[in-house]
Parts: sequence; structure tokens; C-alpha cells
Amino acid sequence: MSVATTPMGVSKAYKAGQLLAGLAIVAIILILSIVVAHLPWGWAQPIVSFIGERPLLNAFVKAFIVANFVAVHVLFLIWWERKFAGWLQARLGPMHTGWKGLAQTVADAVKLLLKEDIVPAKADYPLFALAPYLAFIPTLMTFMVLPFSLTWVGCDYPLGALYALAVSTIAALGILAAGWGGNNKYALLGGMRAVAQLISYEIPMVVVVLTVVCMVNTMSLTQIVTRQEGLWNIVRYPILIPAFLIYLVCSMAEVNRAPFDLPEAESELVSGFHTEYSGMRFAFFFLAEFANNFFTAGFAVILFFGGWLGPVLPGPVWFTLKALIYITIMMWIRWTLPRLRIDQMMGFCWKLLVPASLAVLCVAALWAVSLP
Amino acid sequence: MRGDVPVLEVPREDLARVAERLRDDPGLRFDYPADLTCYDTGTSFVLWYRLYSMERNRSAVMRVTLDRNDPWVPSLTPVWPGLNWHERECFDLYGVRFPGHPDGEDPAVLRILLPEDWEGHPFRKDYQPVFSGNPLHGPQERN
Amino acid sequence: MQITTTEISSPGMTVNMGPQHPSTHGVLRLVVQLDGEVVVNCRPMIGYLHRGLEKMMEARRYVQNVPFTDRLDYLSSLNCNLAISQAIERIGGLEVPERAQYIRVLLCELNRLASHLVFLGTFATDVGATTVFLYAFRERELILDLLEAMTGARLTYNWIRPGGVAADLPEGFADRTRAFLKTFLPALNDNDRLLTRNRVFRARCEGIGVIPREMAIAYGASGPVARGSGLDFDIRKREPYDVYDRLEFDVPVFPEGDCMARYRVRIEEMRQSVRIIEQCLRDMPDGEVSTKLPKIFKPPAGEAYSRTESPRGELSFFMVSDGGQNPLRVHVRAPSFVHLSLLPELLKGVKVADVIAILGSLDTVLGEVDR
Repeated sequence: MSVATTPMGVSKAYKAGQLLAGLAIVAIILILSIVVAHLPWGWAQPIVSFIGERPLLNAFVKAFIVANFVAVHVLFLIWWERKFAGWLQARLGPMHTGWKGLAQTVADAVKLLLKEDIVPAKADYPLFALAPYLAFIPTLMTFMVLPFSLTWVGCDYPLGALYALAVSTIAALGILAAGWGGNNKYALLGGMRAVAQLISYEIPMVVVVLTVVCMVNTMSLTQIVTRQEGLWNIVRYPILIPAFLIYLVCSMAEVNRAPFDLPEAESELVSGFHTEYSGMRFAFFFLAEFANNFFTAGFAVILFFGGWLGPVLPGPVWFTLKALIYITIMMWIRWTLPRLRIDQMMGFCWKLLVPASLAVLCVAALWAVSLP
Repeated sequence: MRGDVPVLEVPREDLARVAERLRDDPGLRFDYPADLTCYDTGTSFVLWYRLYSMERNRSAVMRVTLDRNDPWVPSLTPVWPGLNWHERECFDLYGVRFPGHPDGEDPAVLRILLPEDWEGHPFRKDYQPVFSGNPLHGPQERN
Repeated sequence: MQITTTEISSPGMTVNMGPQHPSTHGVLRLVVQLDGEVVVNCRPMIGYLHRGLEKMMEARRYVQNVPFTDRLDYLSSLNCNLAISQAIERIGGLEVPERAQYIRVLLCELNRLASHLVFLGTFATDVGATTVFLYAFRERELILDLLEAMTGARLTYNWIRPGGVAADLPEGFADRTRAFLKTFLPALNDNDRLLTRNRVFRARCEGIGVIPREMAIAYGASGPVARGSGLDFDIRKREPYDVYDRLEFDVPVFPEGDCMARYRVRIEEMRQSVRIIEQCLRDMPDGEVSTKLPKIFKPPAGEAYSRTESPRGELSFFMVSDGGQNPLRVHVRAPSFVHLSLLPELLKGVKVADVIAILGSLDTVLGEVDR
């Protein structure tokens, strides 16, 4: 043991160098995005209007882009989760596949695709097969209304917030079907717990979103952001600070992240509701979970933190950056705290969060009414 | 044996009485069952109990000599619940029976370290391993 | 007209937390009968790791039996080496030189630190905080480096032999150990802060798996399990061996009897171990590190037993000699064996998620349960 200045074997200078390299890369990406945004894109205008005039083609192209984005950004998110978790745990995360492990998720996806599709003999095949899609498609649907900038939105629905909340709840059906379809006691227990958790934590979440809607008087997600021009919602209306905290907790419960990950806890009943799934079917659940992660983060950014608004950098870059920060905070909490037991989780929701969110709503409504 | 540890040779008939006396007598108070094991001297079995008094910080040892061909001893689990698994182990490895044990007399239930359908008691000096034909019992023939 | 009420009985679900499970700390099978989320009955089934060590020891000479003990409680193998060495010394009437006694205590306390770090990591993982596992193992790597420099091995050391230790401390060992201790205490305090006052951790551990004091005594609980139930029972204080009677250290005792108490006992024990190691390094005299055993070691016929405080509890070896070169009988009284027998009583009426926490807090190692 003749190496180091610190017991960990690497000098401080090396670590500082690594940090600077990482920051430099991020800076280069951001500058590139600004450059790309200011390039002359006029030549693409005829194509855009061609598509825009044909509603069916328009819908198809937008859905195609959104679906691709959902599939691809998950690659990056999973890499980031593993890297960040590694750094929190005094290790490096994936390093070998691709540069600094960036191709790790691609490798994992390919591996999952190549796996044998094992269907348990006594499984309820229709439900078993349907469940991954039932869990994934609602997430895709919610992404359709998520605005990355004023024009970069799949569909600028006037009731966007309501639509997003309503559709995201359908995923609970998928989880229930997964738990039942596998014909496995563990999976069933996991599925029941997951659904109980999901529908319970929907309530404070909806009430909080309602609070925001109450303050800004619109449900359209693009309108919510444009009305934050100049000052973010959370700064303009301080009542939204407790609302945001409640939303943070509920979003972690909605995506089954620790401390609320009992349904998929590895050290409890093996793997929870997706015990019986292998290969691509399992990949769908995983994809759905991470896509849902990004969606709740994006939703929070729109509601509280000004969406795509910000100086210098183009809109979509700001949006993604803010969502990424929110996701990083969720990851930080996940890798620090132990997990709650199911009855403690439910008690926390019903006895604390629901009354708190209702109280926040009342205060916000009173304040909104009392304004001139 | 260390000098200050009393060793009691107890005949089987008096075992239950002596055990209760050791536990309850206010001058003795051996309330902690430290160990129970059995060993085969070739001619007989010896059951060896080690007890400890938590309040007085003293140890005591009880020995019971048993006949190899019919080893049995009344179960002392009602006196010291901690002897439960030790008695099961003595049955499993030596064949000593403990009438009165909470798990009954059924070997399939009493066996603890060996599989439930094992035949024989391996730690006896006269144990001859017989391949049971059950591959789950592991290889038993020496090549 | 009579109105009769009948109970609606739904058959409970029998769940098998099988021999392979991420959280049973070894090959342990728990057959659990559930009524919804609540455990009605539980039957631990062991023997998956039974190797017949005790019978194998009857076929080998006394000194040849020492490496077997590494494989008993493989997380604290130096303590097992110590226990069998003490038994052989008692039955053969051997003396251990003073320097060897200090080295033995030093090594055993280092091993205690390593073993408790594994407990910390695995217990935290059982309740969900995975990060602590990596922090604990990072510290453990440093201890394993130290022990590897001394013995050449990372897990099964076979270093404490009858008569003393195998060889003296290497060059610079004392300085390296002191440097390690300096970094260890702040790291331990970090981990402590991360978990002990954490609201979620406390909700998962407080009031769970309470072992009342009388039950602990009646079942033969020892070590942190007993000290977490209010019993001031530490063999290093009650029947001191080696140089423990000359060292100053406290024994943490917490009365609550729940998982939290057992966890806190082990954390405090780690701090006390650091004190002991510092004193050993300071007070170690020069001298021999082993008495020479006779070439043919035939102890007189008789029985002997040794009692040591391993990180899991009271580990004691019982030996019977018939005057020959091989022992007539060797019996290992393993603390984890006794603690597992507590489990059926402990798990009645408990929720499924707590089963794992309780099992983790007992800190059993199946190697010594099954032998």
C-alpha cells in the first residue's frame, strides 16, 4: 500500500482534473446548443408548413418524434442514474462500454432484446402480455402535452394539466395486470402494494397541481409557462413552496422511487410486480419507470420553475437542464434514505400529505380570491 | 475442566428435578442455558449441559451418562427454552430421544441439520454411511 | 331462532423465503405462514451449509483442526481461531506469552470492526439504504488490507494458533493501524449520522422485533442481541481472557430490545474496539509470540471448554480428549445457532417487511449455525 496521499488511492489533483473535464464537456454541449439554435433554419420552413397543413401527417410526425424522444432520453437517464449513484457511493459507475460508460444502456438494451422470452406456464397470458404496454403507453401519452418550448410541443392541449394527470394514472392498471398475470404470490403482493401506493399518492399530487392552476388560472401547460415570464411561479407565489415539497414527495411515490420503492424492493419479496418478466417485457417496465421519472420532473419544472424560460440558452435546453436537476435531486434522495414499510407509507400519505395539500389549496384559494 | 466450575453427574431419573432446582433455587439461579451437547465415548453416550447464572456470574456443568442402545432423556426445553434446537441437534446427530420436546417425536420434524429423510445418526462412532440413493443427500461413496 | 356466527377463515399463504434470497444472510430457509401482511408462524430450516465439521475434527490432530474454524463464522474468523485455540490450551495445559495475548486481542478487535461493518452494510441494505453498504465496505477494505499485510489472507486467516499466534506483527504495522484508526472514527460517525437519527430508519427499526429481557436469558441470547435487551453480558468483562482485564473499555447496553437497540449496540462496540486497539498498540510488550507445542501433542484425558466474545455473541468450544492425538469430540456452541432459535417466537404477529429487518438485526452467519 505505497500509493496514495488519501486512503482512497487517487490524488486530489486527479479528482479536480476529472471534475474540470466533466464541466468542460457540459459547457461545450451548451455552447453548441446555442450555436445550433442560431443557425439559419429558414430552409426548413416549407417542410414544416407542408406537415402543418395536413393534420393527419402532423399528428403522426409529432407522435413519432415524441415516441423517439421518450425511447432515447431514457438511455441517457439510466446512464446518469448509474453514474450519479456510483459517485454518491464512492465509486465510478459504468466506465468500460463506450466513453465513460455512455454506451452501457445500449448494451443493456441489446442484451435484454436477445434474452429468451420466458412466460410462466400457468400465467394469464393476455394480461401477462398486455401489462407492459399498459404501463408504458400512458407515459408516452403524457409526453404528448409536455412543452419543451413554445413551439416544441406535441399537442398544445388547453386542458394539458388535467389530461396529463388523468392519463398517467392508467399505468396503475398495467402494474396490477403485471402482478396478477405472472401467477406468482410475490408478484401479486408487489402489484397490490404498488397500486395502493400509486392511487393514494395521486390525491395530494392532484390537489397540488390544482393549487397551481388556481393561482395562474389556466390548465394549458404552455400558458402556465408563458405566464411565468419574468418570475418563476414558485417565487411569485410563495405559497407554492410547500406545494412544491408535497409535489416532490408525491412524484417520488408515483415513480416507485425510494423511499417508496417497496413494490420493487429487491431485498423484500424478490422483485415485486415485475418478478416474472424477462427480456424485452421487463425492459418496457424499466423504460416506463424512467420515462415517468422525466415526465414528473418536466411537469414540476413547468408548474413551478418556469419551464423553458431562461437567458442565453435555447428553450428546450433550459427545460431539459432543469428537469435533469430535479431528477438528480430525486436520485440523491433515493440513494440516501431507507425505504418505508407499506403501512407507514400509506399512513404518511393519508394522515399527513392529504390534509397538508388541502390546507395549501385552501390558503392559495383564499389568497387568489383576495387579490385585486 | 477449570477448577471452579462444578460438574454434576446426574442420573436420568433425577434430571428434570435437578434442572428445575438449578434454575429456581434462589441460591443457585442458573437461568441461562449456555450449551448442550452429546459425545460418544465408545461405550456410552454422555450428555453435557452447560449452565450459567446471569446474576451470580457462575457456570455449572451437568453430565448424564446414557446407554448407547437406547439413549433418551426427558426434554429440558420446558425448563430452559434455549435448549430446544440443541436437543434437536443431539437427536439429529446422535439419535438421543427427548420425550416431551415441543416438536414431538417425528424424526422428519426433529431433524435440524440433516435433511428430513436422512437415515442414521452420523456422529456416532459406529456410524456406517449408507448411500440412500437420494442424490440430494450428497455423494457418500468414496472412490 | 338462534343466530350463529361463524368465523370466516381464509387459508393463510405459505411463503418460502428460500435458501436463495437476497436478504437471508446465507443459505437459510424460512417457511413463513402469512395472513395478509402479518406473519402467523415461521419455521426456520437450516442445515444447507452443514459440512460435519465437528466429526471431521475428530479425525485430525488438534492443531490441524484450527483452519476448520475459519470457515465457521467466516466474517470474524480470528475470533473462531481464538476460541478453539483457547480450548486446546485449556485441555493441554498450555501457556500463552504476554505479547501473543496482546496480539490476539488486537487481531480480534480488528476482526470485530470488520464484522460489524458487514453488519452495518447489510442491515442498511435490508431496510433500503444501499449507499451505506458501500461506505461500510470501503472502510472494511482498509481493515482487510491491514490483516492481509499481517496474515496473507483476507477472510480466513488461520493465524491464532494454540500457544499464541503464528508470527509476529510485520514492520510498520502499528503505524499503519494508527493511521487507519484516525480515518475510521470520522467515517463511522458519518455513517452513524446518516442512519441513526434518520426518521425513516427509525420508523423501520424502533419497536420492531422486541426481545424481552427474560426471553433473552431463557433462550441463551448473547452478544449484541443480549446487550440490546438490557443484559449487561459481555464475556470480556465477566470472564476475561487474554489481556482484557487490563484494558479499559465500556460495554454498551440498551434496554429497549428492538432492532434499533441491537444496531446501536454494534455501532458503540465499534467505537470501543477502536479504544481497545489503541491501548493494545500502546501497551504491547516485547517477547515471544508463541509457546512451542510438543511434537506429539497428547493432552490428558478429560473435558475442557472455552468461552469467547465473538462479534455475534458467546462462541464457545467444548473439547473432550481421550489421551490420543485426535480429540474425541469437538463441539462448537455458535451464537447464531441460538439466536436463530429465537426467530419463531420473535416473528409472531410481525409484518412481512419487518421479517427481513429482524433477521438482519440478529446478524447471523450460517457458517456457524450449520457447521
